[in-house]
Amino acid sequence: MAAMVVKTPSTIDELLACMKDADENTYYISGGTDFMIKLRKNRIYSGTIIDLKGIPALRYIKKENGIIRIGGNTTFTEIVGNKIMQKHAACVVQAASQIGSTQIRNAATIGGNVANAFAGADSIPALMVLDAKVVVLKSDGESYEKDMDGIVLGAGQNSLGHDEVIVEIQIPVLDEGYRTAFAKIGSRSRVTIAKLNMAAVVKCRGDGSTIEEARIVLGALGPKAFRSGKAEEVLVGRTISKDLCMAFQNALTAQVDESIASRSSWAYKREAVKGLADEVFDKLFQDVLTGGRA
Amino acid sequence: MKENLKYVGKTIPMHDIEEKVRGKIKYAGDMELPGMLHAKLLLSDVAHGKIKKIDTSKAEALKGVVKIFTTKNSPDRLYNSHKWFVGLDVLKDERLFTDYVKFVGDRIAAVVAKDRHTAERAVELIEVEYEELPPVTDPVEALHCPGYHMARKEIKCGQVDEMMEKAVYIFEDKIETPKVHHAAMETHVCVAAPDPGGNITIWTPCQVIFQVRLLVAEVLNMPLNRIRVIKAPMGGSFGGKGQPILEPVCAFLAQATGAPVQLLMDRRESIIGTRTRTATLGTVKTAVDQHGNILARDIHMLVDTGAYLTNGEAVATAMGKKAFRLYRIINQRYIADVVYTNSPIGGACRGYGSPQIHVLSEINMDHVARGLAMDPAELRLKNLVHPFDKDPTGGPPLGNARIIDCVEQGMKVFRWKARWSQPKGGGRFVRGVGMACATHGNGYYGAYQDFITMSLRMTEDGGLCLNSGIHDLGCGTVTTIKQIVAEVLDVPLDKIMIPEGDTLVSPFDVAGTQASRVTFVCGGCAMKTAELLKAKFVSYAAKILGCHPQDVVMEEGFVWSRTKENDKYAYGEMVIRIQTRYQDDISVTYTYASPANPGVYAANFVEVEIDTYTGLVRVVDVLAVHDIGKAINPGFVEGQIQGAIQMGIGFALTEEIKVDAQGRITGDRFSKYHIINAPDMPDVKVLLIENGEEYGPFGAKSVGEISTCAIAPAIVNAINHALDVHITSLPVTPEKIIGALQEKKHREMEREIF
Repeated sequence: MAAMVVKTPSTIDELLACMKDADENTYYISGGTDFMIKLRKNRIYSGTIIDLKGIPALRYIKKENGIIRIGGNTTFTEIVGNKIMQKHAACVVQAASQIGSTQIRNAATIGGNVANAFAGADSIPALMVLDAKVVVLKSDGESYEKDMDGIVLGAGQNSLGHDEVIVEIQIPVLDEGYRTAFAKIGSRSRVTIAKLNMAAVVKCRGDGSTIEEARIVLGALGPKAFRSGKAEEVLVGRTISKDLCMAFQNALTAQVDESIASRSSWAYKREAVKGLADEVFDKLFQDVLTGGRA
Repeated sequence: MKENLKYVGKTIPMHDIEEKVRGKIKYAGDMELPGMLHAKLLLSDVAHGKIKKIDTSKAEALKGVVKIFTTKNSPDRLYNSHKWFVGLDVLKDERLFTDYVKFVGDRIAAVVAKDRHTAERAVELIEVEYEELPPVTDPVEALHCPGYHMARKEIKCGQVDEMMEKAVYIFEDKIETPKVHHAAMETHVCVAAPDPGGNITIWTPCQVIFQVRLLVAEVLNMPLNRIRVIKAPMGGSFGGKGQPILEPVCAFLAQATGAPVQLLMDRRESIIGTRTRTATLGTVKTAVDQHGNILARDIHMLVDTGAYLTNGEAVATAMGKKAFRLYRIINQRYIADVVYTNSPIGGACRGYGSPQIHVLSEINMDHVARGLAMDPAELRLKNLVHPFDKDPTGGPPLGNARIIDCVEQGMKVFRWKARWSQPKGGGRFVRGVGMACATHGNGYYGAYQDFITMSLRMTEDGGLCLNSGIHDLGCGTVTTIKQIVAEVLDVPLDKIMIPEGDTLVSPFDVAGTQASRVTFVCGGCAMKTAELLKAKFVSYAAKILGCHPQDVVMEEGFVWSRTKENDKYAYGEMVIRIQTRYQDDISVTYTYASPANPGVYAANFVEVEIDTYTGLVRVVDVLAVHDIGKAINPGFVEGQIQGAIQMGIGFALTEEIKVDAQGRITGDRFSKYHIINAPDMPDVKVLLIENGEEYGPFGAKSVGEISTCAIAPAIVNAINHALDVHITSLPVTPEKIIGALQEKKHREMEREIF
């Protein structure tokens, strides 16, 4: 009976060599935190594991020409502690800081979290809302870019072929007028899988009082995260106020009604989403609401 | 009581803590014996059905598989894993393997293989064809299903119906508690090895070695003395390893294969396929006068024991008894109906019914207080038992029951009055306080025989060896007993050796680590045995020293006569002199029967913060006040309480093994079954009331189980108080809180309309 083979390439060239032999029984891992569970649950006894974590060249965060490039092997702990991320991608940092436990964040990587395509994944809405691009390397050494929506197809489904791996995530740097935030609700405060999560990007007018642009992405409300037009509409062109927060809450409740009205979790989520809205709104506009910046 | 205590009352680290934190200790799961095989169980994935066909051929063909066992090639003797002593008459409904499955998790087969990996793979290859039958998972439905209603228990005193008829104020509640998992870090595991002489040795992290021996002997039809059970280091039990679950299976597999076998469960198997806290659905009616004095109470408990009876009846009775020992209620009736359901099996779980009955009684007490517009702590103070009250049903006297002190002192320290009447605020986050009281026991006295034999010997170098069938479940039993012995004989702890239970060499113990009996009964035995040893030693020493026994002084490992202060002997020297001159050994074997079973009491005060948008609750402050008699090791006592509060918060808020109408189980893994973790743990403050208990060693009473009995209702009461809702179903999930708030909103809107 075929056994399990583990390959740990340490360079891109070695990786490409491994990828050439890849088939439907090849599993790419980076942090391996989701895979370990899958391995046991799905009783995977044979195949090839290609462990990307041995490639230091895929572990970086840098800002070049208006783009933040994050190597696929970058851990969530590294993201949380990174100055570039803190400055330009607050929602990703907030999402990363709430993923699993400290031990999980030390091992789990951004490339792995995207590829795993879990419906309740925390990094996915945060990356989607920032219009992140995913760089995919093919076994022939070529690579291509795709947006998040193109990579994440559904619950646990990605678009990657078995000779393709995520090597980089690119986030366009937003100018000063933009604000971002992320929040989640689980069944306890830490080490919890999201029942709901949400990421937001807004652009405010120069004086900070009116919202010019808004992007809202909701996770755990369906097979994959999605943008909520209802929630965005209600924000654009409006002045930041407590009343607007309520309107935002109601829009999200309406969004939940539209998305999962037939599910047993609906009654709870349509209420709980208000808490999510409140938290995101507060993170985005606390200074405005308390008079700090406006 | 002795005035200046040298060892008792001191926080001393656990005897094996260094091995544990260094990872050196060998748990049963770490054991490797030469030629050891590995076993894996096949558990049912349907809730109710007959097995029409079972095909093991593919699994057998797998390289490394030694043998596969099903009902076809194993004993079919019926047993009840709750049977903890030979004379206990209980319904036998369990078997090693079944061909008629009664819940998702029922044992169908076991694979024995050369390694664990192969055993796991082979289990996947067994093909089972079921004839599915409709499952019954709702205990209310079960009550009316033929073959599901198993027992009715009744306890009563006074005239309940008459008082209820006359009463003006009656408060009624329907209160629900879930099945929960013990969540010990170590999942269930056992190792068994046969020898060529036909004996079997079993290593198991268990609570009652002699019960394991009894069950294995019954199932395998072997004499008791052919089975040796050695208690392995315990990686957590909380009652979950109280009943022998894997041991009879593992012993059989070892016997049948003629090789040592290790049987290990993974987390899912431990959650669904072992034991759970027994779920209850209770109705309570309390009649009071306008001042809040309880006139009568009527309780009905529907006890869901799951697919097999085990201790269903015992839990139903145990919880009922507690209802008569917390408040002075002269007219009370408790009826319990025990039902089967096609769901995971009930068993012992920290508190043995006590957490369930206190959830019922304490939520209801707050309902009474609300109805009478009284402070719930004041309402309790009016009704709580007093020291040395009698049990109105004729049970053991309550002893030095200090629950009133617990509540009074707790109110002061917690600043209850001020915090109770604080306005709650109308923002997103709402805070509120709540409290609850609880009682528990100290062993089996009054219900069953409760005794233990200990053998204590002083060695030639002045050390001590105490041999007994004790089981340290990680709570510090060994060190606690050492402290008691050390105090009596004035010997430092590092000179005392106390091994744990081994049925071949330990003197008999009737009940193991159950029923909160260890400190009170086993500790009582250790104290008595040490005193007898001391008396023996002193009487010989007096002869050798040529003085009166009253003049013999034993201190710091030396013995001398008060009349000759300069003529001191080390204990060991004296032992040798006694041996040579009198040809006697300084050893004593004593069988101690527990003389009492007083109540132990606790009051918990909590503050919660509720997110009214998401329904998430954080317990932000806890004060646990305990009537402990005397803390032998205050650090252990606090450790027990901290852990028990953690367990109780989970019981109150998040933990539930949910079974749907088809018998499918959700919450069967830790990603779906949430226990409270460190970030959500509040700061737990502990206040001990140490007023001594006559029959406890140095005045000590139990703490291990009582510590988890009051916390859940205190939390629910705080939530209900903070939100002005009336939630009576555990766990109080965010969904239930949002539901209750919605309902309240609708009620208020309706009120405005009319």
